[in-house]
Amino acid sequence: MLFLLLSIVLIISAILVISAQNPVHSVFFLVLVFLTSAFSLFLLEIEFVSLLFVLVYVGAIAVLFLFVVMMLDIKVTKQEKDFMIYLPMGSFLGLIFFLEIFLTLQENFVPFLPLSGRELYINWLNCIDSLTNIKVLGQLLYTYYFPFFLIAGIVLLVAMVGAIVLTLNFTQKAKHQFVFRQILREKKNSIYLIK
Amino acid sequence: MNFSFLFANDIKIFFPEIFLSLAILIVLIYGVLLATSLTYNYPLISKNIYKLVLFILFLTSLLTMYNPIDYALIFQKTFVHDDLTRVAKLFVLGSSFACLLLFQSYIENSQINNYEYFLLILFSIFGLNLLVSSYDLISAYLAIELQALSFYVLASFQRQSVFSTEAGLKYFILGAFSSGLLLYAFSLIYGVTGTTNLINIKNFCLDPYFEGATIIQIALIFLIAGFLFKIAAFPFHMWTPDVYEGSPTSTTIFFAIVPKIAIMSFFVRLCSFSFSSFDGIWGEILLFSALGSIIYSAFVAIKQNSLKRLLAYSGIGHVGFILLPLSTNTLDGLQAMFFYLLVYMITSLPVWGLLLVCMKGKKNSQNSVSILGGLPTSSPILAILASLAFFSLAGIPPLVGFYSKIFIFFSAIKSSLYLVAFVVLAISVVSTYYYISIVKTIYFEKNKNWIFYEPVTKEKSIVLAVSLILLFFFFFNPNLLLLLSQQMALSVF
Amino acid sequence: MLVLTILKILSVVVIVLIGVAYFTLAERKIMGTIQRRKGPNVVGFQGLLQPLADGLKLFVKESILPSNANKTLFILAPMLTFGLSLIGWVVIPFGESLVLADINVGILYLLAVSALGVYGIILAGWSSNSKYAFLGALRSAAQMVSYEVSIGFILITVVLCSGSFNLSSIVLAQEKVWFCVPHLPMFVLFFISALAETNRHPFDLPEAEAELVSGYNVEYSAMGFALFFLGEYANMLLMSALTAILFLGGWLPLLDIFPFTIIPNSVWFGLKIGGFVVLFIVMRACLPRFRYDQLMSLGWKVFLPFSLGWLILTASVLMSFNWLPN
Repeated sequence: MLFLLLSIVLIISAILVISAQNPVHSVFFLVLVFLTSAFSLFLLEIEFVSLLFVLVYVGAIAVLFLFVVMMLDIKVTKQEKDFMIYLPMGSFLGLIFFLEIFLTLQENFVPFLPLSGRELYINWLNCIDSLTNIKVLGQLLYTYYFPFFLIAGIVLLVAMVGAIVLTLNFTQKAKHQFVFRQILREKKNSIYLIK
Repeated sequence: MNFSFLFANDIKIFFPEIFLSLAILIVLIYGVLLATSLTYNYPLISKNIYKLVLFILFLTSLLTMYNPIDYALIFQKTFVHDDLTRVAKLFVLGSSFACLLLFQSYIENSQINNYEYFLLILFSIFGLNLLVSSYDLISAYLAIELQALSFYVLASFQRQSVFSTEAGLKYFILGAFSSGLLLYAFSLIYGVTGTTNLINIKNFCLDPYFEGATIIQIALIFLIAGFLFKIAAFPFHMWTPDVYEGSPTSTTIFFAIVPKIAIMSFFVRLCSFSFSSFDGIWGEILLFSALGSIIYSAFVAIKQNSLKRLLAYSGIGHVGFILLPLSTNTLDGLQAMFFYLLVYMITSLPVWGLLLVCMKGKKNSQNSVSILGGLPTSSPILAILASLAFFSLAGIPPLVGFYSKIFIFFSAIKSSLYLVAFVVLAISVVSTYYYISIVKTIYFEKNKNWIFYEPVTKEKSIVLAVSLILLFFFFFNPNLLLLLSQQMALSVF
Repeated sequence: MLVLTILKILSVVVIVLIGVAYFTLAERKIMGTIQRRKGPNVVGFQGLLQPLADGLKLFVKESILPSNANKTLFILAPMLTFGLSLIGWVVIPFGESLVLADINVGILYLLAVSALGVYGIILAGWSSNSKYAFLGALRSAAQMVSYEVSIGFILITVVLCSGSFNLSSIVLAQEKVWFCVPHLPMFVLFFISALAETNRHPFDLPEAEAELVSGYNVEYSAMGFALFFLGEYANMLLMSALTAILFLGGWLPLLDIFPFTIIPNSVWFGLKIGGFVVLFIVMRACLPRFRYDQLMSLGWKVFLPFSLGWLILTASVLMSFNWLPN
């Protein structure tokens, strides 16, 4: 029930992300999308991933988005004309795609959803397993799949190097503050007698 | 403390990659410390790092070549080591070595002084090597992201230039989109089979009682779409000319030559190994894409004035030729494909090297085909080299390009794709037309303006000469390439 | 059942709000003492009813909606800040098994809540459609995001030593020795980061009266301002409680011997929070404001590498002496 409610909110706000006129509003709706998806993950008892979702996406990435969008002085433009041109074709393709996915998912996925199974029986195996989410993740990530962990680190390093290369303006003319020099400065070595 | 020797052999096999990654990190630290040091007055260490990178590439290829073990699945079956990975990695390393030799002077002249350029190239080579040897969807995705991220930065490296930033942005958005498609496909596959391992997926697909066949089919469509994006094949090729034209020429060369073999070798493993039982579906899609790229590029390339765009379109056509034999899903087809890939890499070196010679200064206007007109008077040897390289691309007999095309036709005919073979044959006449029209421009068109060429450095001349000799050598003695491509094709199955 | 839950929640909320009220009074009194004046001493005995009077005043004032403001977001922002500052208290253990929700990812939950806290400020700054408010919001967001990183690393250090993300087990892990003894530098760092995280002096750039005429909440009056005010002070209390739990052993007494064990556990916890509150106030009274670039370079170039290094040091020490908790 709660899950359904959350997913409805998620879908509505996801639609609003693309249809909102003001870019700042659409970023806020994006935040709402992240939050609702994190909550629904929480309901599925994947608490670690959901909290990481809030921490990383909402707490850091969306804030940076907001920063950029707020600082750019974007005029609110009306794009309804373009929208109407693309609407029929787009919605047609979207409908076909939706039907395709819907029909196949209907066939293959629905019986495995926990919704129908939850009332029928208790999965005792789940009850025995007392490991928390984090421990399970750690035990897999740091043992069997440690190369992935390292490679992901290198991917992030590339992102950092790239961001620095593309944005850092390294000039020697810029004035820097050298705190240690300020602290080391004393009366002895800063007052001279000029003849 | 207990140390476990669980992965001891795996680490031994994985040693080239470990060496490469550690070397990257060490060079990065060296660069960061030295380039920002006040005591040395902020030195430009680009050239320094360039030599280090060459040395690292050399050592890595040595380590790859003399890997003591022939076949193994390592790190919980997430990476693989066999003949395909060995040859593909060697070609990735070797071609990037050659590329670096080719465009070093260009980088110096266009004042790309940031040493990070070479480091990003190393990062992307690391990603490509990982991609070649990945045997699991997660490792493949990570590797693809690693190389793609460094490619985005390489494309937009000249951040003052509008073209370069535009190219980088286009590449980034479309690349991220295609990664999303790939990720969706991977998640569908995982959702249906519960595994990301290639061999387990194969076993699932071979199972006659497997229920998720329809979902796998949808996933395959996404998967192929994502990969076609990455290798710039027909319905998803739009980004290629813009990105190739906008990015710095050195980056363009790297994009055009190096990544194809790595992406293709993982793609082949995925298609012909894991989803071999679904070859009815992906075969048709790939056939469509291959025909589309060949036809489209042949007709669009005729109209191009800019040399870079022309080469980009011709690259799309070559991707079509690469995909065509893959769609047959036979051993012969795969061998023809790998043969074509290897030859394409060797042939592209002189072709793109020629472009570098024409790029005098930073002006983009000097990019038109007509600039080649002064080549015979200014440098007759270079003119001969250029026309030979274009002949080889077109597939004219005394050069190895002839074999690579003819093998593809053979494989198509063997799989009784007669109509396809005929159409492709007809279209390659068109593509031959525009290759030869370049040669015509070189020799028979008088240019009114003065044309200045970049002087050919020693390294560049070595690369050009060696690749030209190889073009002839492999025509008369193609055994080595045949053997390599057969080994690669055999180790897929 | 429902009534009981609501009562439980109310008991926490009311206590926190009363705490906030007397936090403000303490601030004015202590600052008054430091500056050799008396502070509020008219309303009630020695000014004890002053916070209630202030609250009443703010409550009955007229709320002003700026005409150019984005109305919905403008109203939403203070509510968000206030709500988030109270939500965090759910996982704080006031004593042994004296906690509303004893979830096993308590620390992550707190981090997530404090990450969301940025939004209240950004919303307020942007929706007021005023330059001062916007500048304040930008400063504040950048500051909070930067210091959250080092806070995260410090938290991981503590989690490494206690082997759990659950706040109660973190407290119980300090029965032998409080974490402020082996992790003294991290303790100091955490407190400073908490100052920055709550936009307190000497890192109060977002509110800087002299430059930004109080930053992101310039346009707010009456209840909106009151909610921001309450939210901020509740956040400070929350950070003090978190510092006490992570480094000073939460509800544990100073020593587990006779004269200390007379005092009940939750009183110990309250005393520790009170200590930090006083520290917060003294900091405000005696430190000048940081410059913005100094603030950023302190966060990224000093705190981040130091906490990362300390994390690795801790991990390797724990690993090499086999001291890892289970």
